[in-house]
Parts: sequence; C-alpha cells; structure tokens
Amino acid sequence: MELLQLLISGIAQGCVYGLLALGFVLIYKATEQVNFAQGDIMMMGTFFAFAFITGTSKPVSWWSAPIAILAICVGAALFYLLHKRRLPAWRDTAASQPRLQQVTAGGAYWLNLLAIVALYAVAAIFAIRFLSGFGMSWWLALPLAAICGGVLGYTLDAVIVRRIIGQPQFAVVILTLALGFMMRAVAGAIWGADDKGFTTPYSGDVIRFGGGEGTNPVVIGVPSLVIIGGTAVMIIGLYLFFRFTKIGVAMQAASQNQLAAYYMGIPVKYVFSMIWAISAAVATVAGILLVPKLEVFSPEVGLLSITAFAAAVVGGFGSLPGAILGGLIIGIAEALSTRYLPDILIDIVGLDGSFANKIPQVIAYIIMLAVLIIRPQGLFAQIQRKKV
Amino acid sequence: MAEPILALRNVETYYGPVMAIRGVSLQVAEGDIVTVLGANGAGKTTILKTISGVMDPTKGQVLFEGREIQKRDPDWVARHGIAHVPEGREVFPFLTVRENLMMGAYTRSDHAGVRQDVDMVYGYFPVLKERADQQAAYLSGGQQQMLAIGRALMARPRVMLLDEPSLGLSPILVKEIYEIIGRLNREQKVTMLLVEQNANMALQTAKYGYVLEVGRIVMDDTCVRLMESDDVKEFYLGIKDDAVRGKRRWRRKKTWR
Ligand SMILES: Nc1ncnc2c1ncn2[C@@H]1O[C@H](COP(=O)(O)OP(=O)(O)O)[C@@H](O)[C@H]1O
Ligand SMILES: [Mg+2]
Repeated sequence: MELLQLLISGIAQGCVYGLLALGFVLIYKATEQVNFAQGDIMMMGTFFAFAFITGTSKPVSWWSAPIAILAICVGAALFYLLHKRRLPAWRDTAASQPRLQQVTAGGAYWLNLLAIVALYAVAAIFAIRFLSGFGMSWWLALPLAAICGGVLGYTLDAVIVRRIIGQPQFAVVILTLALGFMMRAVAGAIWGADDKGFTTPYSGDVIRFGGGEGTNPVVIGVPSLVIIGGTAVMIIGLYLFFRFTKIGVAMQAASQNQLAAYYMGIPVKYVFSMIWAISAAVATVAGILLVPKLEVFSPEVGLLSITAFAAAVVGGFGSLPGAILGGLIIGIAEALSTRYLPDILIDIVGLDGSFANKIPQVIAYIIMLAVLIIRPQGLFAQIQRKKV
Repeated sequence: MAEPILALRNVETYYGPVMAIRGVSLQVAEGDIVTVLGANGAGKTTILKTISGVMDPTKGQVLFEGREIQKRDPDWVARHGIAHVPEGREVFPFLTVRENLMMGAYTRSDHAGVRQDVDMVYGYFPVLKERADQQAAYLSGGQQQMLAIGRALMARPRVMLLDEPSLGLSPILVKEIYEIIGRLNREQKVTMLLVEQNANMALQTAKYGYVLEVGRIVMDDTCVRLMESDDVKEFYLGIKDDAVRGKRRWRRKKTWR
C-alpha cells in the first residue's frame, strides 16, 4: 500500500514534469527553438501567485491606482503600435540578416525600447504591491497568475527571442539560459532567495482509507490528486483548443510548414508568440499546483525544468503525448527509486550508502541517457519530418 | 491595355549577396492568365515570393490594383487578395484536407461564405471531398497539387500566383490540372500569374507570356506568338527543325543574346 502512495505522488510529480516538457515541445515544434527559460517562467508565475495570495487585502493608496492604469495604458498602446509595425518577417536564412539589421537600426528599435521602459514602469508599480501582497483568494490568484505568466511568455518571445530568428541554434540556447538567470535574479531581488510558501484551500488535506488490524492506512495527499486532475483538465483543454479553434489549427499549421502558413496569411510571428504564451501559462499553473505538494518553493524551483527537459527527450522531443508520458515515466521512476533503490544498491550490489543515496537524484538523466542510446528518437516519437 | 491588376516595375531581389531578380518588369491584366517561362534557377519562384511579400525587393515596385505593396507583410498581401500556390505544393502534412482548406480561408471571417467556398472547391476537385478527413500527407502528388490550388481558392483571391503546378506530375495529371486552372480563370474570374518550366502547357493555357533567363525578362509576347518563335520552340518546347539539327546546333544562338 505504500506502493500506491508512492505511485500517486510520483505520477503527480511526473505531471508537473510533463506539463513543463509540453511547453518545451510546443515551442520546439513551432520554432525549432529550445526554451531553456521554461522552468524560470514557471517560477515567476508561481511568484505572481504568491504575490497575489499573500498579504492582506487593504485599500490601495490613492495614487497607485491611477498611475498603474496610466502605465498599463502606455505599455498597451506601445505594444499595439509595435505589432502594427513590421517586425522581421520570415525570410530565407540567407536573406534574413540584412533585414534584421535594417529593423534594429530603424524606428521599431526605439519603439521597442520605449515599450520595455513602459513595461518596467508597470513592473515597478506592481512590485511595490507585490511586496506587500494582494491578499486574494487562491481561486482568483490561479487564473490571474496564469494570465500574467502567459503575458510574460508572450513578451519574452515578441520583444527578445524573436529578434534572433535565423541565428544559429546555440544563440537561442544561450539567450534563453541567460533570460532564466535574469528571472531568477529578479525574483530573488523582489521576494528574497529563501523558501516561500502559500496556503491553498486544500493544503495539507489527505485522503485516508484502508488500514485495520496491524496494517497502516493508505494516506494520499490531496495536493497530488489536484495536480493529476488539473493536468488532465489542461491536456483535454489544450487538445480541444488545437483541434477545434481556428487559431489552434493555425498554430499547428505554422508549426508544420512555416512558409505555407505565411502564404495563407497566417500572422506567423504572432502565432509563435502565442505558443510561448500558452507554454508559459501551462507552466505557471503547474508551478502553482506543485506548491502545496512540496509545501515550499524558492527562485531555484525553475531548475525542475532540467528534469522536465529529460522527460521531453525521453518522450521523443516533438511529440506532445510523448512529453506527458515521458514526464510520468520520470516522475514515477524518481518516486520509486528514492524509496527502494538505495536499499537494493546497498544490500544487493554492496554500494557505499552515501553514493547509493545519490543515485535516485540523477535517475532522470540515467533514463534519458538510456533512451538516447537504445532509441534515440525517443520512446513515443512520431514518424514525421518537419518540412520548412 | 487597361490598368493592370498586378505589375512589377524594375524589381531587384537578393538572397543575401546573390541577386536573383535583375530588374524585372511585367504586367498582369485583370481576368487574364499570364505566364512566366524560365529554366530551373531562372528566378521564377523568387518573383512570386517577392509579390506575396515573403521576400522584399531591394529595388523597384510591386503594384497591386495600383497600390505599392512591396513593403507589405505576407499576411497583409494574402488578406488583400493575392493567393500563392507554392512550388512543391507545401500543404500542411498533418492537418486534414478540410483543415488545410480552412487555413486557406484564414484571413476571412464570413463563415457562411467560407462554407460555400469549401463546397465550391469540392466541386472542382471531387477527390478532395472523398478524402476530406484524411491527413494531407497521405494524398498523392496530384491530389496535393489540387489541395494547394483549392486552398488558395479558399481565400477568394483576386489574383492567384501559381508556381510550377506541373512539377513532378504525370502528363495526364498535368493536363487535368491545367484544365481546371483554365476553368477557374473563366468561371471564378481569378486572374492568374503562372510560372512554369513546362512551357507547352503554360503557353496553351495562358494569354500572355514572359520569358525569364537568369533573373531577366528577355522576351515577351502573346502566347500565340511565343509558340511561333524559333527560340521558344527550340529552348522551351524542345521542337527542333531536323535539317538544322546537328549541323547548326553548336552555332545556334538565342537571338536575344
Ligand atoms: N534560399 C536561397 N538562398 C540563396 N540563393 C537562392 C535561394 N533560393 C534561390 N536562390 C538562387 O536564386 C536564383 C533563382 O531561384 P528561383 O527563384 O528559385 O528559381 P526558379 O524558381 O526559377 O527555379 C537561383 O539562381 C538560386 O540559386
Ligand atoms: Mg522555382
């Protein structure tokens, strides 16, 4: 019965990996970029929720409301103008460089800069509020933080990552890694680097059943169940979205054949930024649901995405169901190996205890390497090549 | 000639340092089929990409309904009535046939009209209706070409750009596709700019033709007269005067050189 508890806990953890991996795969399929800031976007989203939930709801001082509204309007207006203007469109790689230089030298560059400044103004005013907290209910904070996370993802792509389309892969890798570091630093500066937590309507709740003469009852944490249920809801929602909405089908189209999408008049750049937004919002929800399970989080929580990256590789980078299944495999493997593997290694193989205890921490990467060696295309790879 | 619906004026387009289009001017009158003939690498595809805004010309203007559009984004161009049937089909392989068609109508929001046009496309290409729920990747080459044309049609375009619709298809299929292209022009009043290596079919279908060599227009005339031209006959239609062959072949030069 201990096994059942471990399984559920592992599946819940695996769902979080899977949702993060989903974000990796969505962005990769669309733009062939790997977004290493994925975990830190999740972290930021979780802190947004933290800021919304903690504190007491007290009246806003008289000046901050009009200033916030004004700053938001300025930011929104600038972004509207920004997207009315030409940003570097898709070009054959060879043709893209001169065009990019032209844009950075032109007016759009200054407009971007202004927009960023306006964003900072908004962020500053919000930061003041964040520090004292909003004291919202969890039910309100969850969707609000998801939207804020989505806006963060959209902005990162539209303002920064999109600019280096046509550059070599490693440029994107370094850029997103750097963005991740920056977000960690920003979160640390605003909220401090120590462990944080917030309470949810179901924190600490457990479901207990079984247990009688001499046997322990099965104790299952409600937070784990909420993660599993929430993941299922999000997956179904995403499936319906990609399958049945016009913009969802357009996202698939732009991912499958970018050039043809341009010919159809699909605004590919906007579509790609929306994919970033979706990935970020999904990650944010995953992060928020994870908090009551782990009970604490800190700016370092984004490092989970390294494990999630392994999950995406195991699932066959490019398959959406594969990402979720890869996450589940790794989550379950972590839970089971943490409990059973050290004993096995010590008793049967005769390993040193301190070494054996470390193995479960790297089990995700061991699985990833094994998969890469045995089946490099991943366990659930679809047989497909992207045409560009 | 009346005001052309589409015109290029002295357009130059580069791939990085490589100049692919070297000052091309051409005109397409409303309701016509106009063809641009050229060998592989002549710059036909580049001309179409320049028109649809996927590439920007370094010099010159692209005029659509009298308006300069060379600086516009591809989605603007598509929204305003120029549909592109790309070289090599370029369907969305993992979307169904129906979803592919709906993507062709992406810029439209008149749902009733879109539904009507799906039926119109199915009317021209019944095979697409049979396979409406299959992924486009499983269609044959000819069916994919039909899908690409149908998808462009879904935008209700004023002008359709067709890039080598005969590429890789059997002669019978080529004939079938060209018949439908002709019908679409007549029945749906779609103006067409058709680029081809397959000069024979293109010249029979189109009204006016341009000959493109290494990024330059070297000749233009009505298709009837182009078919009579010795140069076009020899270099694009592969018809050679038997007596002249062999003896004079090495000396024969294109008159425009
Ligand atoms: N992506 C590219 N990068 C660099 N040069 C290119 C590219 N695409 C085409 N070219 C060059 O531009 C010229 C015209 O190409 P294209 O328009 O595709 O010819 P066509 O369609 O007539 O076969 C060719 O000489 C080709 O080498
Ligand atoms: Mg071509």
